[in-house]
Amino acid sequence: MIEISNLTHIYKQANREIVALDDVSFDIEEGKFIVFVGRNGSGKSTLAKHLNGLIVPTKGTVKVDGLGTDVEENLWKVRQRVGMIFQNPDNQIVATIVEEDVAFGPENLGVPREEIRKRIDEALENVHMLEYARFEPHLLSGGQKQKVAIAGVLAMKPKYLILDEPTSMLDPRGRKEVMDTLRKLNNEQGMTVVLITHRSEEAIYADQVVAMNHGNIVFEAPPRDFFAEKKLLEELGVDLPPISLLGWELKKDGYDIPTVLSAEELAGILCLLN
Amino acid sequence: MLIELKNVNFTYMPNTPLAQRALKNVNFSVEVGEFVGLIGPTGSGKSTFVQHLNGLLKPLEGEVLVEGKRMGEEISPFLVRRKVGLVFQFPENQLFEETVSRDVAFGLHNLGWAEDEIEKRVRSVLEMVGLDYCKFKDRSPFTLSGGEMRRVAIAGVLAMNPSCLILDEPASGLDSIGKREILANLERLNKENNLTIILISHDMDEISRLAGRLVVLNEGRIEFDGSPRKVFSLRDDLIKIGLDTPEFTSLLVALKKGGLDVPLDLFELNEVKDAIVSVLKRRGS
Ligand SMILES: Nc1ncnc2c1ncn2[C@@H]1O[C@H](COP(=O)(O)OP(=O)(O)O)[C@@H](O)[C@H]1O
Ligand SMILES: Nc1ncnc2c1ncn2[C@@H]1O[C@H](COP(=O)(O)OP(=O)(O)O)[C@@H](O)[C@H]1O
Ligand SMILES: [Mg+2]
Ligand SMILES: [Mg+2]
Repeated sequence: MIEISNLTHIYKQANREIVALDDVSFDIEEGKFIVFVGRNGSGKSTLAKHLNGLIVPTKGTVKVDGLGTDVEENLWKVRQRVGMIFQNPDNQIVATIVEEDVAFGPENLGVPREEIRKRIDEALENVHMLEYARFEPHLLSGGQKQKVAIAGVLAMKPKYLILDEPTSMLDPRGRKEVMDTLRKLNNEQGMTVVLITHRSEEAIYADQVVAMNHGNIVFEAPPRDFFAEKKLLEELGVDLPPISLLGWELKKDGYDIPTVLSAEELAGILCLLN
Repeated sequence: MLIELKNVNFTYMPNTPLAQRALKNVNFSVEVGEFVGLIGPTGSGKSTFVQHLNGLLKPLEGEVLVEGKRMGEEISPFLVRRKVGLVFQFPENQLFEETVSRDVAFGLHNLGWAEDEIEKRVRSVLEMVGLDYCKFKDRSPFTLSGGEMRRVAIAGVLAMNPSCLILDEPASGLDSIGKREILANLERLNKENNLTIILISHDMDEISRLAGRLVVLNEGRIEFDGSPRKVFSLRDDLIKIGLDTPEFTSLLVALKKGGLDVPLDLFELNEVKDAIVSVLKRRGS
């Protein structure tokens, strides 16, 4: 479990202080798929960076399986447990061959050679990129690069995977590949996934959707309950999936439509009406 | 015709083992006042294509005409770059001046404009992107929201008074408010100022509502070129090349499969709703 307790983070700049997180408390339980949404500047990336100790609390604590991120000696163990993926795949790939890139993390952890080979294959298999092991990363599409970055993190065998807008630079197929990979890791291997995104259609797979605003967690609920709060979400600058909006409009016209999240779901309901 | 590409071929690092054919026999033209959406999977050649439109890249074969003049011979690439403004992806990374107004004025200073002329232009382009001149002119670009920063970057390109504005994923990474601001702005610039706009986007929902015409690139070729209605009716072809259709198209296709006789080429929430309501009423009676 990752326990976030009364976490405040203040960025100090020359002439002013920015309170990016204001007394946030939240637990991320193992095996969960949690999605964070909220407008730009609401503190999502700052929160994410706390989860693997890239930055440390100004006040409060973050503990990963009981290990405080503010204790220097814990950082190594924390980073091993918590893998982090960012927006731009190009900035995350360091080696000139895909498998070398995936090997980079475990090599740094001092994993023995034979074991590294096994981990590379497993990690690439996991993201369906094994046949690209000997490829040069620059020959891959954005989605494929992002999957290689994920494989690089998986090779360190983390318990928690944190992704900060991993699909925002990808084309539709790339987005789908990354989302399918995350769902598979979560469903089949019980990997804990924390995803930050602006795309409401990516939030519909979560166990819990969390909205941030002005450095606070202001609302959290399972997707169906979350996207039922149309008015609140509009105030928070969070988009509803277009299909949910359409469901609302039909409901206003007197049709008996519950909160829907996907096109298939709404089509199923409409075809069975009257 | 504002810009025309005729039989354009382009290869990166030609005559080397690393040669990469990025544009293959591309024919394209855009007229003043059009709003063109450019879609295609990563690596399909979108960035290469738009850099041909503003003279940053020179075709290996074929020719580029701007206002009927052959680029490089009858009109210089330098002049073309002013006529055809290109806003790169994450343009806020290119903001570097201390204040918003100095950032927007950067190109004008380079052209040697007089201060009072510059001030007038900066005021007018900031207003074109919906930023109040007095409120924003002295702010540091780095204290702005994501959507505001992007609009400052766009204003900097507009300051050069281009006849065509090309934007590479201008809304990516923005929250819904920032996204709406940017897109509403582009729509207004197109409608009110008759500015020609070419928009690269991976968001099929967004582009279906904005663009009057869609150009689909795949492996360096123009695969389809037509109205969003026509292009998104080719759902299977788009999915095959790694693209998608708007969510509403997926819904309408699923409804049709389920026996509800709805048209498939609707993109606005209201028109989709009306079509569904009318078919349900027909079935109910
Ligand atoms: N390195 C930094 N230095 C100063 N301020 C920062 C820094 N990073 C973020 N901020 C500020 O902290 C707040 C929260 O930012 P961030 O966590 O990036 O939000 P989000 O990821 O939700 O867009 C914003 O006001 C932002 O401007
Ligand atoms: N500077 C470059 N050098 C070599 N190859 C390039 C360069 N830029 C792009 N390419 C290649 O050209 C093709 C088209 O790329 P690009 O125009 O960037 O596509 P898109 O913008 O649609 O992603 C790709 O195969 C890409 O790898
Ligand atoms: Mg962020
Ligand atoms: Mg590109």
